[in-house]
Amino acid sequence: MSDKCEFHSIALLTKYLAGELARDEEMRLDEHVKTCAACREACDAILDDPAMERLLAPLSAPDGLPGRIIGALPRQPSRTRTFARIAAIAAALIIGLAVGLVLPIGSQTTSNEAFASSLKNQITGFARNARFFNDEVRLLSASDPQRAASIMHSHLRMLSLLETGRQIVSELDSPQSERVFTAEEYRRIREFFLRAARTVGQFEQYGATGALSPQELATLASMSPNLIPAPDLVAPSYGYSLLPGQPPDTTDPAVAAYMEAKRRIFAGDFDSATRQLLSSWDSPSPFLHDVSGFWISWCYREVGEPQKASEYIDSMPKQYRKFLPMEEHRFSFDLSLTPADNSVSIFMFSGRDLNDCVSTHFYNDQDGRIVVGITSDGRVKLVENNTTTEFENMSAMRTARQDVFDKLFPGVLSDR
Amino acid sequence: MDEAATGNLVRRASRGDEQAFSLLVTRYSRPLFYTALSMLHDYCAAEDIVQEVFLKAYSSLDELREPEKVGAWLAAMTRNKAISHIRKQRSHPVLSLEGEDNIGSPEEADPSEVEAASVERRKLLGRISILPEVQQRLLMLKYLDKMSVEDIAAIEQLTEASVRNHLYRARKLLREMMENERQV
Repeated sequence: MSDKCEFHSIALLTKYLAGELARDEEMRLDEHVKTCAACREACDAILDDPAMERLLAPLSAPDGLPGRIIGALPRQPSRTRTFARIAAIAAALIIGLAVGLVLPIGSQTTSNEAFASSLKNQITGFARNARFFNDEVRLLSASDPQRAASIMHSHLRMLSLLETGRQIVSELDSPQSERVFTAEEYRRIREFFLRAARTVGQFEQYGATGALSPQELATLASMSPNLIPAPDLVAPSYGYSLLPGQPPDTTDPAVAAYMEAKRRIFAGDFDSATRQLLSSWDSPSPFLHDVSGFWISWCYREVGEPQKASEYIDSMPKQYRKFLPMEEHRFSFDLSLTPADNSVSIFMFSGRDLNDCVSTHFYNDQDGRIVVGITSDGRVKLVENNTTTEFENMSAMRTARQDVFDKLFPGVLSDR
Repeated sequence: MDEAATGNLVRRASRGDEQAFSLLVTRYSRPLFYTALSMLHDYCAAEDIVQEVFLKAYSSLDELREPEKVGAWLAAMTRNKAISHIRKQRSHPVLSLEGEDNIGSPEEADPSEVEAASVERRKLLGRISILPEVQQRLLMLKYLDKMSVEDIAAIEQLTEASVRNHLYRARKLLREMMENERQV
């Protein structure tokens, strides 16, 4: 406050804020505060309440809220507005928000949630139909970015580079959301994951994502001292899993419960596996919740018992029901799960040749499992009968092995 | 934005001007979110409610008799939907992963601190929910969104002096409630 200011008095300003001054004096101060920066600052200081800010911080409204609301509005042909136009406005709004809100990582003025949420906005413009993905990333703008990180681990994956190399087919863990991204869009998505992951910083269990290259993951690991690369980890993250400190401790009841359930799943004993996993809902492990729900519904679907899958999903806690809408968990490739698959390596593709792949896809045929991996620079590796064949790109693989290509990507690229 | 400007905006939106509707969403979504949040104490549910409110408003804006009072209309819808949600929750309780609420803070790593902060937060939200609605929104915009008094005044169509006064009184009321709780 200026020394020369006639209203230089905290007591006076406090009375002013409290509405305890006489009307004429209050009006004089109204006028004065409008023009006196020092008094405005003093008023702000009186109103400052760091304790309340700290307590309320996790509740901040998601920054992408307006954009999501506008994006979710239905098409109304009877009116002059159209969804496309609204979407264009939403995109403009989103970009505006993003430009206004994305500050450098580490900025003291940007919360994790706000940052992650604004990044999400950049994606929603071109992933509008990906409800599953949106819901997941929505967690980032919710109150617990750590938990969000453990869930966003691998749900954006590159399927295939097209011939031109300019377009990429990407999946968001949902057949309905598969669509073609331009390379530029995909670059932005990757950037989103990396930056969001950096922002989140600390992962409760693991937070690797298939959208990141090994180099990016190494960078991420170096930035998060609690994480170490765990390429041999028994977890569905394609060899890029990162765990805090060390690989899972199987003496941990939560991990042990998960492993036991998994064993039962692979033994075809789904009812028992379900009971096992349901019994561990009390576990604080987001890893367990995330993975087990997915596994059970998936397994029931695989054995042709959608009703049980549906019942199971209905029995799940609300937050996770959200992430397992029945219609969005169909697998588009032919994968048979039989008791013969009694191995926890099904998601691991333990062949080290695939460790540099940003994406892996597989199916079982009569001779065993066929796995195709795609590296970050677009090379394709085909693992068959423990033998790895490398192709320059997906086109070359397709030319040589149309049968494998059709099995892996039915309907995805057939029209192109 | 004064009442006349608000009324014009609503009339444009009701005639199908999507830009006008976007402006309404931008202007009111956050305050409505805080209204829902203070009633539900559930972050995801609050967002869902606000989405529903705007979805409903989108199709029925032209039924609004006093367009300049769109803010009060949206707030009433938000409260009604929040009340319905609470009733549904009571008749069909849903297990929450977080225990009693859906709100946590990443900075509060120690489980005992998390629990303590969670309890304090619930108490604070309970107190805030008793305040006059305008004060609830101002508190959220100031202490959650960390908006300047100037920006809040623009959004809420109040003078800066009025915003400061409301904030001061709201905090005083909160303090008094806290004192009363301690004495009880």
